[in-house]
Amino acid sequence: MGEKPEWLQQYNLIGKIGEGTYGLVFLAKTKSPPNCGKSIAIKKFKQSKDGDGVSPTAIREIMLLREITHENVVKLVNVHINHNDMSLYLAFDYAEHDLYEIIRHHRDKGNNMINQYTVKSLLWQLLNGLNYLHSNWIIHRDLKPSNILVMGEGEEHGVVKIADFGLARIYQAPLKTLFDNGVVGAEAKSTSNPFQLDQLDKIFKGTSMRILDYMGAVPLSTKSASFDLLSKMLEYDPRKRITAAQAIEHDYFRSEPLPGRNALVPSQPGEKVINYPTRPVDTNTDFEGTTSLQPPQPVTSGNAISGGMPGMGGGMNPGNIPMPRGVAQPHQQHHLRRKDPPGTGTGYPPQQKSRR
Amino acid sequence: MADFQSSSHKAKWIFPPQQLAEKYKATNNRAKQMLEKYGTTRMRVDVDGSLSYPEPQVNMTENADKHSRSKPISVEEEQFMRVYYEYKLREVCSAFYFPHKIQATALIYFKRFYLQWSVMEHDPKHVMLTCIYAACKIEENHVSAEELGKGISQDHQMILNYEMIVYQSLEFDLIVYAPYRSVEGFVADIEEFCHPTDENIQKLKEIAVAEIDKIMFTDAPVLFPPGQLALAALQSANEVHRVLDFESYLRRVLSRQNSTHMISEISESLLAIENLVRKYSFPTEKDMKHINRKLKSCWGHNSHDDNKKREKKSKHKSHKSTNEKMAQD
Repeated sequence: MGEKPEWLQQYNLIGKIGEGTYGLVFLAKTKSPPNCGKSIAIKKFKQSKDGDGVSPTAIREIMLLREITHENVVKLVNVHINHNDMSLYLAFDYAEHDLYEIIRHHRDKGNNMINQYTVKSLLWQLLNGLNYLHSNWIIHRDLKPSNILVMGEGEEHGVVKIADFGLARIYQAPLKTLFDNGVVGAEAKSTSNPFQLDQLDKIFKGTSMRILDYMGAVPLSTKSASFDLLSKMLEYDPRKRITAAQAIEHDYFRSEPLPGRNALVPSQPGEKVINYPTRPVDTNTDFEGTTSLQPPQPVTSGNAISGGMPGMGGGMNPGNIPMPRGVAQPHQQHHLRRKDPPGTGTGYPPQQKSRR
Repeated sequence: MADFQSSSHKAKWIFPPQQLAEKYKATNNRAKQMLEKYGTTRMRVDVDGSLSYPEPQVNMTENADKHSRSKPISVEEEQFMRVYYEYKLREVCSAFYFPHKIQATALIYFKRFYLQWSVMEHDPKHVMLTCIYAACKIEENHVSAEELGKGISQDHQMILNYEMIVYQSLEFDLIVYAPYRSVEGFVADIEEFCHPTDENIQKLKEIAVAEIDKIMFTDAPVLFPPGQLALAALQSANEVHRVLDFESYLRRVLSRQNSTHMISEISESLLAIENLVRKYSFPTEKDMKHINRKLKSCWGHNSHDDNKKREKKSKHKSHKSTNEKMAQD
């Protein structure tokens, strides 16, 4: 196992919070002032195929994030390089929540309807970020609930951050599609994934009316502003589809409750504030992505995040099972990391040993 | 395309001429100091892409008499080296039939890389190939390092070793704006402005693109924004093949952009760009031989047998002290 890279000394590593085709994400805290104790998400990219050099996904993500700054786009605070295996680590401001978990929370808790203020604020901020990206000719191309983060308690509480630019592209010509945006809007509204069973292409072969039929379960009056906006975002023909810029001006956002900056805490008194669960952290996986061989330790305050994890039964991953997030993407599943036999190390191609 | 106004290209990679000259001087000085201290200037790039400074050569200080010392190359010679390898860069890109955009991106990467490093520190041949490789990756024209290396019979491992250093040296600012697209934009605008015949506008564009090719070989891309490079190219093209009254067109551009630039300022920039093209000079074979010989000794190839003979030969020629040599250059 490699030694800890030097740059890692500036963080306290808490544990793994996600993984995907690109690599792994860790939660860490900065050790020293000025931001002592600040939560940081560290995204570790897998090395790409042997002989292909630095991961193109990592490079794309970095280069795009170097050019963009927006309140509703995730903030890249640092890039670290591990020269031993040429891997890249991106350090982001940590976001406690994401739309996938928020939706799941409501879906699993049956009677607990999502607050209309929250829906509207999340959607508005998402569209606002999207409008910024699109006006810079950047198309995200992988917008899905697990990539739409929401900040936890703190100065930016309840602020939406669009994340994961590994598949994003920058275009030379105007592209006015809101393809990805429509899908997310529907999901947030119905608190169940209407498209879960269908591939996107199947869905978009149907007409927009069929898509709206699909949402019969959604308690939306066909006369409501939200229905109107949704049907415009789900318009099959991209030329007729509403743009992000037009959407943020829609009547839906001009009627009560008005969208706000903190999407999680409604401004009106009397509205119930929902305590969304914090992100599960797998403290058994070290920075190399190696799962510890010991039987899972009982949860102790020693290595868990302070305050524990309210409402997260089994959140500590007692079975020591890899916990893919954003699971519903079928195309990802067979790409998800191959499970290494115990003790073989990192799950990455063998590292070239440093000559020194 | 994303907004140039808010780009890292505009914010970080366009310099006033004075500052650019200082940068070249500073990297050159650093390499010279390294040569004095260690007897070699080449940074070692390991398989894992990490950099290390040269090991001090033991016999440097004691045994080595003056004439066996390596001579550094001058700022002007560095420029020649860059010019030479920029030309090579374009040759390689043409050999692979890469789109224009890749060649332009690679060229800008190469220029930016050598704002941070001296030619003495990193072999421009390696850097040039790595810049092409990186540009292909960024512009999504994926070519494997192996393929690239094979095509020009170079060891591709060297490209992979250098890749991270190149990104780091570019500070991961990898989105660059080449002036070719600006030319297209202006050409469309000119059509609207004065309704030239198709033939005329095509001819104008053709000459302007050729002009951009020349501009890209100068320092202009790190001195001026791509829009000005494009206008300079069009102005030159218009002098060869007159299609419009360029000054009134410039006025139109400025008035529409609500620009704070005065027409005189723009004209001055365009003139400066033209001058850079005019003053551009390509090293002769003799220049290159001379510089390469010096570089080889800077890179401390002394220890290799195959270089010994050449080394001996050059020793006799380079008897003069560094200072004298500099004064001569």
